[in-house]
Amino acid sequence: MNRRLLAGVVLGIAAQLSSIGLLLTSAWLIVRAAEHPPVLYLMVAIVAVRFFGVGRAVFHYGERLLTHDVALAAMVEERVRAYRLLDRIAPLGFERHRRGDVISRIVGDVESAQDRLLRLRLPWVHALVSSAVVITLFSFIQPAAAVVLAAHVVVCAGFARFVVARLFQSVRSRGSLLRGSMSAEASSLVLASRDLVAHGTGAGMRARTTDSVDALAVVQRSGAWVAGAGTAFVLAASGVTIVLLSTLASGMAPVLVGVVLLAPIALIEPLQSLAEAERLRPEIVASRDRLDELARTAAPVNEPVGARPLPASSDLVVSDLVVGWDQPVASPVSFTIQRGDIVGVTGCSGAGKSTLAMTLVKLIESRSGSITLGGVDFAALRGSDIRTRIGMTGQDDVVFDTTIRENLRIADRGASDSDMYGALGRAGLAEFVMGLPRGLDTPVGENGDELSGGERQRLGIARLLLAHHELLVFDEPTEHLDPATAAAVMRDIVDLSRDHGVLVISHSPAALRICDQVVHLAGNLVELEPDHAAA
Amino acid sequence: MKPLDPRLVRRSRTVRSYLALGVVLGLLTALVVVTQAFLIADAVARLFDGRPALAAAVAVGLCLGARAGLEWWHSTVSARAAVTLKSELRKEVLDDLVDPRRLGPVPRSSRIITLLGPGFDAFDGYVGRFLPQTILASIVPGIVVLAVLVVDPLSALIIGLSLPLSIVFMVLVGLVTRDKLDRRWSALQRLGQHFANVLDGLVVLKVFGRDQTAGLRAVGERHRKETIRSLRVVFLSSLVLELVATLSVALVAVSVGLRVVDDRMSLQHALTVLLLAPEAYLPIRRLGAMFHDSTAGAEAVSEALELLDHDRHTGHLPAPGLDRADLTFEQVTVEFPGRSQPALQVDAETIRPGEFVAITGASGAGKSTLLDVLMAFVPPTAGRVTVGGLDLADIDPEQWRHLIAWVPQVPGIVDGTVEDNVRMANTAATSAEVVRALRDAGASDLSPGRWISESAHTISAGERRRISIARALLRVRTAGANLVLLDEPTAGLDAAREGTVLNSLRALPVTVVVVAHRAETIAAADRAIRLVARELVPS
Repeated sequence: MNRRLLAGVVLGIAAQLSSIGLLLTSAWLIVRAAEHPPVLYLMVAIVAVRFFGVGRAVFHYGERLLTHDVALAAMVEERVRAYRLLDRIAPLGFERHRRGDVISRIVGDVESAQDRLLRLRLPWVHALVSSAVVITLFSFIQPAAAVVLAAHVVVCAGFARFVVARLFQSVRSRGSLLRGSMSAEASSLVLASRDLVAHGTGAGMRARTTDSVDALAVVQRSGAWVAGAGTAFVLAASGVTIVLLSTLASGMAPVLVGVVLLAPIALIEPLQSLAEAERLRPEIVASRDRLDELARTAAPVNEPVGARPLPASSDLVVSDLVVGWDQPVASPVSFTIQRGDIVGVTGCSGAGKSTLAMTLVKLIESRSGSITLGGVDFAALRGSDIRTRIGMTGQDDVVFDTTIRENLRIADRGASDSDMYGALGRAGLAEFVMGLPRGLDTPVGENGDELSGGERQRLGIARLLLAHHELLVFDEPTEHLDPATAAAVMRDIVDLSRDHGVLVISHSPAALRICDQVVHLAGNLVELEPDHAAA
Repeated sequence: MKPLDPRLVRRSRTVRSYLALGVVLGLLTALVVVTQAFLIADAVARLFDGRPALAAAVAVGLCLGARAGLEWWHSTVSARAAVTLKSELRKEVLDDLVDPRRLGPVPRSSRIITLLGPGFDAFDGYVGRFLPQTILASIVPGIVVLAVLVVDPLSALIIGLSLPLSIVFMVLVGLVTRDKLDRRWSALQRLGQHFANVLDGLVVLKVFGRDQTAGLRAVGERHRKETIRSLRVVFLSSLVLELVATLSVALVAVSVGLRVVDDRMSLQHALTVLLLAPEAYLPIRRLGAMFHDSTAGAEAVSEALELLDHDRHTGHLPAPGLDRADLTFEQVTVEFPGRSQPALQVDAETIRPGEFVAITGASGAGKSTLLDVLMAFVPPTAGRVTVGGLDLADIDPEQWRHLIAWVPQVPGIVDGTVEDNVRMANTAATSAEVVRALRDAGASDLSPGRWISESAHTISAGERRRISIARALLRVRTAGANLVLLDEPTAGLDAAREGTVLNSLRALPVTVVVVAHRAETIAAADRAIRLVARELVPS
């Protein structure tokens, strides 16, 4: 165990014991005082009371600092772990429509790693150790009282762990289906709201959504009693324990009766904290499970064992290639790209054009047929090696929420300003960037919102140009561009083909006109049945 | 931050009646706490004197049972109130979104979806836990101090002085550290965003072979070190509170103990005071610990109230048909708050009945905003749009939209078949009419019986657009719409389909306004209105 965590746990236990000690020592002090001893006899107790009074707060302060430090460090590792898990399976799970959900869930799951330590595990350690200390002390005073107190602690802890956690789990699972459908209905309504208002047909869908909001509320309201069950149980159990202890107290030294009777009161706080901690368990466990499930997901690409080094030549030969995720989505295609070539790929929507692009940079495996780079089969090459030769700019290229400069540096860490302006110039964006008051240091905003669609696209192209690839794959490079800019971009792509092999995926006739060769990708999309679609 | 937004109290009966019940339960809890202290002290004193104590002990047990019941009841009504309030606000926000008289740009859908889901879920912590504790913290300490005052004025003085002192100190330290805390809070948000951003761009990073492990570690470590540095100061506020609380209890314990020695105080009174003293601080300490349960909920409340706070369309005049009336822009400007440049500026334009007009201009020139103005979604900030001489702002928006077929950039889809979705334009249309509309929208490959939905994502952007075009054709042909508004309808369509769509649109005998980038679309129009771009102003 990490030293800071150990110190934090020790301080946490000390804080808890101080709090218990403050009440019990005070009780002893007052009851002993009632025997009218010389004040000198009380001095130790008086000092102890004051020590516990100061100690509790100070220990707690130290504990919080140390354990927060440990939790933050654990979160860093958890973040790295989640990143690696996703990196392994990307682009799986990164389809445009799912990406937002997946990411926000993972960000939340990673944050719950902090709760796991601070709000679930530590309360247990503090409560159990400090109760054990009190019970041990009691066994010297009167073994029977120690047994009663131990039973009290076990019952309360057991109730928290087995009853409270299960109650919350069952409320959660009963609600989760309705919660999911409410959320789905609500988001459909939100996404379609403008269309519904425009067509004046919102009433039906609104009623359906309202019903699902109500249905969720009914179930959640019926589970409301669970919220306070754990803490209430501890109070009631303490009442019973006090009655039991009072029956044992008759044979005890009078000076100790205060300590014995007040012990359950002193333990209320740590035992209630267990019930509070267990409320969170179902959520924390679910987060953990989701991350573990990512770890079990198969990667979309099998990297070769003992991969071949990259060959000297970068000629790409594609023969009878069939692409697809789980099943083939397109008919076989064959083509060859060498430096100086521009090959166009076209096909109707859904024919697998973007899937082809991802296959050519080995982000996903081909279904059948072969791809060779410089005569070496793709299967024998590592994907990360292939991607140093073949670059791609896709339809949903992400622009990072930082400056233009940092976005470009992703392609080349060491790029100078003039390299960057060179690439921007070839993507038709240099003038725009130079016109900005902060130039390359202009932030692009969340999702690149400060840029227009065309500017985002050209930034993506500039980024690709800055990396030192020999083959370039452009997936719909002119999609959001006005005709003049589109023509300019295509001219630049033609220029690029002097030093590169280029593949242009597009359905724009203007774009395809400049290609030496056009490959037609015929989709064979299976029509989705309603029950498949709903899955 | 206020513990409870007064706007919420004003508008929600649930909140008001819950608060009233909460105060009653809080008072009862305070009484039980005081009784419990007296009874325990009595039981101990009896045992000490060797008197029979079973009855007293049973009374203590019953009292703790009553306290358990009260706490349970309080938490149950609070959790229920949270559920009720959640569903009330969810419904209000949803109703508002489909309110035909809502004015203003649509808020970002991702934001509303988050608010409707996890945003309002935070009420479990806020209304379910934080508010009841706030009620207890404002009732119990006062009553406990009063009870101590009856038994022992000196102890009451110690508690009565230290309690406000600790709160003042806590607030002072809190104020001093608030900036630090806010900075850390936003740093944490930024860290989350950075992480989300890295994950979002993971495919790009993978394509460029940029491993982010080291970067994530470095950013996380830096954040950890800085956070711990601020927490050292931030945690001082609870240190002060706890220190004052426990030291006062220790002070009270020693002072009553010494008076018991001298027989100036009875054992029972001393124990009562000892048991009451910590109860005066406990609710406030718990409240401090629950603070982070409250922040997300309070944020959701203010976000919801902000969302619901907007202008409403007030027009009631019947809409004139556009087969006769001109559509005129008079010095129209649209400005959105927080942007220095107007989103749209049109000095004078008239669109005549039956015209096919293309709206062109660079990105950001306000092309989509112009359609929003025509749809009466967004009111002009200055100037006006008139229809046959009537100000659009005076026309009933529902009647007006009844005359319009609308194809936005990203059309919405409802769960159902392709046919259901096309029929959104006119629920009374026949299947044959739907099939014809699909065909003329270049969507004959889409089977009308195919199931589509927003959540299953089985539909591409191009298919979505063609369905929306089919809606528009159906609305004009069968529901009497005489104005068609389209926002880049042929983006993402191949040449053949684009031709089909443009031919179908040309053949409509009504006014067509189309926002267009593509030369083919612009060429198909009678004329083009060119909007002038705003300048990009980096923030």
